[in-house]
Amino acid sequence: MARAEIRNRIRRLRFEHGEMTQQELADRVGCTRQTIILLEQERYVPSLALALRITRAFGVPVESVFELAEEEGT
Amino acid sequence: MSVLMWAVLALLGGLAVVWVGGRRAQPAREPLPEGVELPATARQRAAWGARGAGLLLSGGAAAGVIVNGPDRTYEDDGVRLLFTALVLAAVAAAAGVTMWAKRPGAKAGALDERDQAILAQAPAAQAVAVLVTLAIWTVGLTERFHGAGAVPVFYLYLLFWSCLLVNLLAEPVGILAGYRRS
Repeated sequence: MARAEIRNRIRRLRFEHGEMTQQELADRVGCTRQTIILLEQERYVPSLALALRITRAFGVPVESVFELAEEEGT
Repeated sequence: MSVLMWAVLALLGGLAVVWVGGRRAQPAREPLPEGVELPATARQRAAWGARGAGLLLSGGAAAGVIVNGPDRTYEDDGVRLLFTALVLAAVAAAAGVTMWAKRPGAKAGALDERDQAILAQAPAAQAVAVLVTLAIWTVGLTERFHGAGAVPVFYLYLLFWSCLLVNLLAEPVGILAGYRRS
């Protein structure tokens, strides 16, 4: 699979929220730490439900965490 | 070729189909950057356990048949019971760990959406793997016993157990392939 076309700022937001660990975020949103790592590396595109739980954990709107990647060459 | 060689070929053929099928069911993920490691999930560890226990016990049963020979394994009650006990233990181990892995998570997040997607795709190659095992067995037994016109009962017994083992091992192998690729 090609790299996910959804970019995210999860790693930066974790650090801006008291250096929250990957495990803490995983526990808050109800997923495994492995999934958080893959999300941060943009190797996995979350479901809408997980994306919304992540934005809720940071208390920010969806577009502050996720954005659609620009297509190459545009 | 001896029947035992056909048996080994049948098992390896089935497991090869499981592995290839598991890989094909999951699109390949780009490799992670250097220094980024993925901790194993609970389901991944369970799948390793199921595959390890299943292979170890079924390997023990296969070794028993190879050492004693098919005839003695079938004729000698003690050897046959030991063989059956080892195969049953392999089946119980593989099935037990797989069932444990699929139970609803005791802790929130223990089984997330990615785990569920991997678990759903893990049995993708199960049926084909069993068919391939069965096909190789059929060819082997036909080649070996065509002249005799009958197949000794013990080989049918081995055929059944090997198909069951391939079926049960298919799921943990599919799960491990899923975690490697998705």
